[in-house]
Amino acid sequence: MRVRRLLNRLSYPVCFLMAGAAALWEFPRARTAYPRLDYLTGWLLMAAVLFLTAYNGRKKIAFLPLASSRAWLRVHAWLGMLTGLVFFLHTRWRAPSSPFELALAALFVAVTLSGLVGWGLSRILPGRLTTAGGEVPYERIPVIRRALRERAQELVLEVVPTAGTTTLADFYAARLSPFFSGPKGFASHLFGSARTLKGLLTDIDQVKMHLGDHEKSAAIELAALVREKDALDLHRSVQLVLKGWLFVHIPLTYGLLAFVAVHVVLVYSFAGGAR
Amino acid sequence: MSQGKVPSPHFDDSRYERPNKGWLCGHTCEGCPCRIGPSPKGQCRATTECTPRLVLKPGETKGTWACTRQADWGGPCEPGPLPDGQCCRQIERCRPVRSLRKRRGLVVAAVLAVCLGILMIGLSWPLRASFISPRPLSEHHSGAAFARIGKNPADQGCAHCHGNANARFGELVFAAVAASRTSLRFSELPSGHPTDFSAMDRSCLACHAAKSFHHANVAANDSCSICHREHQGGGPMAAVTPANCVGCHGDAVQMAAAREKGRLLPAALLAPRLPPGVIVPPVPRPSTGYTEVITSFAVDHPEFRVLRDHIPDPNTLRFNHRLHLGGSDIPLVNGRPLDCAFCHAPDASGAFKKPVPFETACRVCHDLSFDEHNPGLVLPHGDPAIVRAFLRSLPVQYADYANRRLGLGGKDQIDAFVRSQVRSLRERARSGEDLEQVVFLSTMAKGPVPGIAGSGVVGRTRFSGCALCHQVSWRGGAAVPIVAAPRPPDRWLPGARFSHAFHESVACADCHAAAKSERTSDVLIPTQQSCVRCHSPNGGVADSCTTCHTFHNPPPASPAARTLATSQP
Amino acid sequence: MSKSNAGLNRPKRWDFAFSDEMSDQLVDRIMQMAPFRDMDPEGFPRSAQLPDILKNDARLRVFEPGEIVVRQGDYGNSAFMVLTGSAEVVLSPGLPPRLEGRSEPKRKRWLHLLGQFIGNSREDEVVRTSSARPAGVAPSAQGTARGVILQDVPRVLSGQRTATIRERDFFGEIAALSRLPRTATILAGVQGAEMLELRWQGLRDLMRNAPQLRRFIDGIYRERALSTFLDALPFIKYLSPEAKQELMDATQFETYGEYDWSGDYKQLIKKGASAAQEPTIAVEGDYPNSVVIVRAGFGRLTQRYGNSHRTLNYLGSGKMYGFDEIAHNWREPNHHVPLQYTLRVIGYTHVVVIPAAVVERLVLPVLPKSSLPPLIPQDRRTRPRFEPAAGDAAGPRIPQDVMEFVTQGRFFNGTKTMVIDLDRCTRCDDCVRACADTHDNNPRFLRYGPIHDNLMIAEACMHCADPVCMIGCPTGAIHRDTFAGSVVVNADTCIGCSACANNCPYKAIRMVEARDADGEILVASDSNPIHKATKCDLCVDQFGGPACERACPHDALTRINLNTTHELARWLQR
Repeated sequence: MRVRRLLNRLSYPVCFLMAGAAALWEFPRARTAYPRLDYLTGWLLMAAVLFLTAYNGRKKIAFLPLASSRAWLRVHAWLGMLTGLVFFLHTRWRAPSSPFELALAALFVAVTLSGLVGWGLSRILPGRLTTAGGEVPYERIPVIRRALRERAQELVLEVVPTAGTTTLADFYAARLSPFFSGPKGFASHLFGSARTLKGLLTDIDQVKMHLGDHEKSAAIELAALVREKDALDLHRSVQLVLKGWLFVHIPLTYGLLAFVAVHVVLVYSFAGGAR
Repeated sequence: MSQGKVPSPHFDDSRYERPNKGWLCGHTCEGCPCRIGPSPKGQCRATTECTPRLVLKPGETKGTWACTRQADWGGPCEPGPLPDGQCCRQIERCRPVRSLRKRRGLVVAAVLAVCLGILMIGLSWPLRASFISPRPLSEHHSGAAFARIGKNPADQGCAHCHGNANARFGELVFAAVAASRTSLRFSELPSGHPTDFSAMDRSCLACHAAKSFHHANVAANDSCSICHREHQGGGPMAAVTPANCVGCHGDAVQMAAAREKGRLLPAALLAPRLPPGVIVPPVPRPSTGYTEVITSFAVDHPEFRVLRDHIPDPNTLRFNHRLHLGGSDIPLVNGRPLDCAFCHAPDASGAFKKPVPFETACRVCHDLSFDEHNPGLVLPHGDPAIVRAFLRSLPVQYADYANRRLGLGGKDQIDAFVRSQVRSLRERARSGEDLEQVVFLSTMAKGPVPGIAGSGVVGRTRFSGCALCHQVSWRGGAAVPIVAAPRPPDRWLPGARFSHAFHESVACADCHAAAKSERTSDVLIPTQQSCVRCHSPNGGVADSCTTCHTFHNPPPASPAARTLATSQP
Repeated sequence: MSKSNAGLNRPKRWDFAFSDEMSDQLVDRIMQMAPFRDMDPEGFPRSAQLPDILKNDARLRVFEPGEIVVRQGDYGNSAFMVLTGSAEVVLSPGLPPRLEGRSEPKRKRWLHLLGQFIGNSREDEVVRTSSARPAGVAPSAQGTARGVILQDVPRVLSGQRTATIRERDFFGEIAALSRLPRTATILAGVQGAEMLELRWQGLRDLMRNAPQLRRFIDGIYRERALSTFLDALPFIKYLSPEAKQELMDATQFETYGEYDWSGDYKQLIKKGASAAQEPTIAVEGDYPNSVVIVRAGFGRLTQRYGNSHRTLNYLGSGKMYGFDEIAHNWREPNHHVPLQYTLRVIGYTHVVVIPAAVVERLVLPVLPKSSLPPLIPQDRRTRPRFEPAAGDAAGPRIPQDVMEFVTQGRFFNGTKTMVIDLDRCTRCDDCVRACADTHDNNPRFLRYGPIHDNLMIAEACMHCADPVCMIGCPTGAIHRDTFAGSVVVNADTCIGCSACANNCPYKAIRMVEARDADGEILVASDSNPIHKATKCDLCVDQFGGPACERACPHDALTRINLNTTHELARWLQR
């Protein structure tokens, strides 16, 4: 069982590492055997890039029985890295020289790196969301935020007549209202900082000392709402990043494809003999 | 359930979340999307919160309008419908917003547009060359001098070599498609020997027309650029590597193909192309051509054919290297024993040794004197007819000798000298014919000196006769014998390039086993293995194919015709 | 905000009769037969009169000799009454599947699959008028291909143990009433047969309103259910037929909890349920005086722990309780042990009880030594903390806290529960989009639901072993797919009463407002929107299984059977 699990986990990396090692091993020999090796690696690279892009298409046609998305992603990730190696074999470890080559290489590297970063984020960030709690689909976040804000306002207004003071209401207006009004602390949530939350909770504790019993219980509920809102903000920023890295990866992929197409045309129309 | 890890409690799970939708209600970001939502094209469709229903009680004709607002929107509203049956609660219209995914689609479109824009600008006419040209060209193919020799003065820059470099992009696409159907067929890309000769090669030949190509039986006539790589940076062009040669010569299939092709070609096409007058050893072209599989000089380069096939030196001159280099009775010359350099002198280029001339190399010992009483009187070297004439005019020769060498004056004195010498000679040689026979045919190297004009002493003959060194045949009745002219080969390895000048640091004996050679037929060029001692990765001296060989035929290392003419005996 | 459509009538029960061939004369003829002629018409409510039930929820079917009426393993929502002729029940060992001519569910053709790419509605919840007859409504008998008819019936049945069903007998009621697959294959007898087929809604109404019929059906239901059920027990094969008969005679049925338990459960949730409040079937520490076998529903196996009770396992259909202790006491008469665990009722539990004395006399002596359960250690401390229930093979186990979570939420009911590993889920919603792609642009589940640690049980239909949602449906729109047993809703016959949605304890069924192709919400003549019940249909008409599972890039989402803990345990350790 454990062995099978291990095999299952290692099958993809091992396959692709072996393919990579084989490519590196064979490359010097292939260089002499195939004068048009660069064309071959080029087409291989293009086929790989097209296949990698096809994952985007696979997601759009979920209803066709085209293997599971999980298998696609694993192949996508490992083939992506292998493609990076093929890229270097294709360029023969030389730096790009013309502006065109530079743009092409930059796009390729950017797509590959953004993919790697995205892969890493997809493995690291979900755990943070799970730990934070308050699970919510991204599209519903504004609705929940509004519900939290309304509940908080209600709470504060409820106690004003009974308490006879506006201490809590004033505190809310000054300190909490901006917090509840919209998404807050995108970057700090991303880096896992809890400073905003701690600050607000300390302030609530501070103001609690000056409150009556009614207001105090409202303040405790407010603190709970603040925690929920903080978790919601965390969900917003982390989910946004989890979706956002694709805003780099996918558009650049299509840009890369445009450059690749022109590259192929130029290479074929400028071809000198075999190279 | 663990604290803090619960789903959001404010969540309305009575309706589906639809992340597949492209447009969201504009009120979404305020947290209150409307019920109907925007149209698939992103238009707001908000109207009223309900559609009032007309309730007709029995007997009534007008009826009353009833609110039908759904319970999840708060149920029927208090004011109720307007008198005309309109709902009183208008939904505030919004401007629908794109979903995150749809926005990603926009970003994709924008990035694609930017990329296409960059490409369009970059590929446009004035910018194209600098936009797409990779690493700089070599010094040979750049600069003002190269620009001047363009085929067409209108052609600029890239178009020198790349014919359609300045064409519009659409034409480039056509050219690319055409290339993919001809020289760059996909099926041929994995081939080790793409045979097509591209348009680019014709550009090369426009200037390099003099470059003829390899052996006629070459199976794959590769493009120039397979070996000569351009756009590798400034300076001289990148060197051709052994891999370029091994690509064919290391490939058994290619070699078999060449063999096959060679079998069908007329022999004249395959004859070695040597400059006129160059003498080479009689090594026949093998029936299979030069098609052995060779991957490197050190590993599987065959032995030089002249050695492998034990082809003797065709030279007719008899010469014993061992005797001359080590013989105890070889006298010192100028106080030193003979060495290689005494006879073998480099030619003008230093690459090869000149043919050994008799006058400087041999005569010092072999002075062609025939009369021990008059050692200063020597036979001429060269044409046998002249020798015969000399012998037939001996009195004149003696007179001339007496006059010029002995300094005798007065006719009587000279005549007396001539008479006495001729008589003395005749006593020894009986007749003029006998003397000629001895001069031409004697091979006596050692023996009683009277072999010619015996004095009874045994020792090295001062002159033993032409046949000691030369091949002399005298058919009966002929006036003079035929002395075969010595024809030492000019080039032992005509297919390779070699220079003695590069090998000065090596002693002659390291390569040439002359000290052991007793016969002229011994071939004294070193074996391939002895070359490999240095010319191999282990030896550390250059061992690439191009060190010795040149792809392009004929080999450029032919001796100048002038040198040949002067060295003829 | 929505367009009123005066002509659009709200769908009603019996808009689609079970068969349109039930003429009034035919109904009259059946009304003259027993047991219908003996029923009291006054006992039926006005909305569902006896002739109406016969006309709309029944149909007459004529079977040729040897024709298969029902197949073992198929799901069916109807019971049969033999009017003339007879039927043969194949008890064991069963017909080979080839002979039974099992029908695969109809899947979309490739072209249709591709068609979804452009053909999906752009609006939500668009009602498509299907030209096809709604599922769950029988095709017309005439002109359609007949079912599978076995040739040379005597030879086919020669190696089989069979029973004969004669006129006026019912069969198929187990599957119809308990939402279980058919327990046996039944063929028409040698003279052929004429049968009355009753939809389960009709059978339910008849049983509710005609007491004799209810008693009669209860009787045969128990008898047959017991026989086929006991056959599945591991030790039955060692018993002689006489001993088995004796065992059956001594066996009792007991039912705990409410058949329709979801309402209670929802109240329990509100109150904050705990194991201690559930009724018990047998209590830890008591003397073991019977073997309890779960027949339907689930029991919770608990053990005292501190001040409370710890859930060790849940027992689904076929799982035994108390057998180990009885076997121990029989082998070690001087060291008796009491019951080690408490068996509690979760929701509705139907159990079969065999007295200990009978087990000791009939079963244990004939059981080979290798089949006897291991002895129970006397020292409580050395006892395994987690005891796999009887019949469970040793394998990966799920942690205690997950066990409590699964039991407390009653997720064990699901055969295709959607479990999401939140530590892997990137919240990309690919699953939801895939679902929408395969369901005319409508998601059929909500990626939201109860969470424990990193496990989320999403609000997606889990295709319960015991689908309580089907209990209240007036039209049978929600039914089990004949082949795979998935629970599906037929949108054409759904009248939007939301009974199923209210019954579902897992919030897996959502009522949606139907729209037309322009996205306008459809409004009935009473100015209220038309609702439809929607839920996960497990992509029955697609290739390759549930699209959500296939669409998950991170292996975070799975559809697993929680009836036993094996699949979950294996998945947790993947």
